[in-house]
Order: sequence, then C-alpha cells, then structure tokens
Amino acid sequence: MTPDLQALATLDRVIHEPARLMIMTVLYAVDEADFLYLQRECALTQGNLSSHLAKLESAGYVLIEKMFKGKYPLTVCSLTQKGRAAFADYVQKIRVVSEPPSTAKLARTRHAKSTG
Amino acid sequence: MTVPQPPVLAAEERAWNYWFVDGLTNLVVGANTLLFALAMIYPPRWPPRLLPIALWLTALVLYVVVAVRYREIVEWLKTRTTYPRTGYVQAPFPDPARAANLTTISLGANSPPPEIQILHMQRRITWTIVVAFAALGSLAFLIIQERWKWTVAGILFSVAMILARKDYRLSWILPVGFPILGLYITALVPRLQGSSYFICGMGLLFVLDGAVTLIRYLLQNPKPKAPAA
Repeated sequence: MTPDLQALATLDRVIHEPARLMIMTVLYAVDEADFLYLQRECALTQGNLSSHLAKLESAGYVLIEKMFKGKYPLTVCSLTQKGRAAFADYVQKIRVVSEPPSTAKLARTRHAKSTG
Repeated sequence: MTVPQPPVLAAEERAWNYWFVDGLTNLVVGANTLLFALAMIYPPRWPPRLLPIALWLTALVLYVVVAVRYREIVEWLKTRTTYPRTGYVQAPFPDPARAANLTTISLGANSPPPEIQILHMQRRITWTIVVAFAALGSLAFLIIQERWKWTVAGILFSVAMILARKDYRLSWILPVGFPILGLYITALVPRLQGSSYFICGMGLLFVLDGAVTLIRYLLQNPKPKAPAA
C-alpha cells in the first residue's frame, strides 16, 4: 500500500460519517451555532442531530453549552481546538484522493528512483 | 458567473448573511436615521422653548444611544423573533488570518482556482464601487448648490443599492425609492430643509425595506410550537 492510501486508511471515523461531517463543516465555519440552526443547515431530525452531537462531544470535538439569550434557552455548539485540528487533518487526508501529487513530491519520487 | 463555493466557505457566507435575513438590521438603521432626521428637522430656535428643546434633545440622545448600542438592540430583537424560529449562529469576526485558513481548508494548500479568485476580486470591486457611489451621493449634498442635487444624490444612492443587491439580500424598495425621494425633494421641499427631509426619507426607506423583509421572514418561518408535556 502506498503512503497516500495508508493516509486514507487512517481517516477519522468519527468525522467520516456524512451527518457528522456536515455538522463539523458548519461548526468549523462559524464561532458557534445553536441546535436549531444546525438542524436546519444539515437537514437532520432532532434525534439524529442529538445522537451525532453526542458522539462528537464524547470524542472531544464539540463543546455543547446550555445558555440563555434573554428568556430564550439555547443549546449552543462550538468546535473545540481538538475538533478544529481533527477536521483540518481529516480534510488534508481526504484531499489526497482528488489532488495530483505536488511538483515537490514528484521531484522527491524521481530523486528517490534515480538514487535508489 | 456562478461559481460553486466549497462547503466551508459557503457555510461561513450563509452564517454572515443570516444576520440580515430577518430585516431587523435595516429596520433599526432606518429608525435611527429617522431619529437623526427628526433632530435636524426640529432644531432648537430662538427664543428657546422647553418642549421643542426637550424633543430635540431626546431625539439626539436616542440617536446616539441606538448608534452606540446598535448590535445589542438588534440582538435583543433577534432573541424574540429570529432565534426561536430559525436558530442562532455567531459568524466569526472578519479576520484575514481566519479567512485565509478557511480558504486553505476549503481549497487546499494550493492557491484558489482562477474562478474563485475572480469571484473574490469581483466582490471586492463591487463593494469599492458601492462605497464610492454612496460617498459621491453624500458629497453631492455638500458640493452642489442647486436644487437638483437631491435628484443626483438619489440616483447615486440608488446605483449603490443596485450594486449592493448583487451580494446582499436587499429588496427593490431601496433602489427604486431613492430616485423617487430625490425627485420629490427637488420638486416639493424648500431648499433649506432638503437635507433633513432627504435623511428622513432615507430612514423611511430603510424602515420600509426592513419591515417588508421582516414580514416575509415571519410568514415563511412561523414560530414552532412547544412540544406537549
């Protein structure tokens, strides 16, 4: 197995699930969002969103806080530092599938072949 | 040219536009502009009388308070209308480092594809032109001494609004309303009161735009019923 394919084999399975990937994508782009906003953005049912958020929270990727804006109770979710790093890492690995190897990488490979 | 945005950038853009989705921002801006216009229309006159001075001072103080506390006021209104209906999101503060990070995450370490570079450049150019037209409209107030300056200002503001509509959700009320306002002031309002009436009209247009957007939003997003206990 080539190193690029090995990278794919180590993809984070917590993020890799489509619904959780949607949640992570939305949360990565914003500072914080509440349950209702996430539900509408990701088009998930309450139960589905709850269970996926619980998995992300237990992985330490998402922070869930109950707060009040005026009298309105909010369940606010945001990505933790660990979550941000994990998402960036995931995107980096998945990119290997679609992107052509960089010129530097190509040069390294050629160099390795010519010397070895 | 329509360029599909990468999901992370698209999510960020939607979060940004979410602030304007209910029209409350324009409603508050318009109401505040009306307060300023009110203070301009009824300035204190000699000999001083208590009631006009009190009204003028109240309008001025309210204007300053609303201008300083603008975000908190809009947020307070949103907690009663928007958040219970479509949720709450806090878009990130505009930060070039963060924007670069989002772009890198979305598009890879390589530079963005030419279409997206063109799109971003077009947006920057559009906004520069919008600001330039609005500034020209404001300058027309000061530089031109003829009555038709209101028509010119109205047309310039209208062009700015038409261009702004490319990137932001604005109704046709503002682009159509500004030239009509300019013509009305030119034809019917005494020259010395032109500025205050123009600002008053501007406030009314923003209030109208905000109200229409708010009504449309409320009709499209009825408040969800609380689950039965």
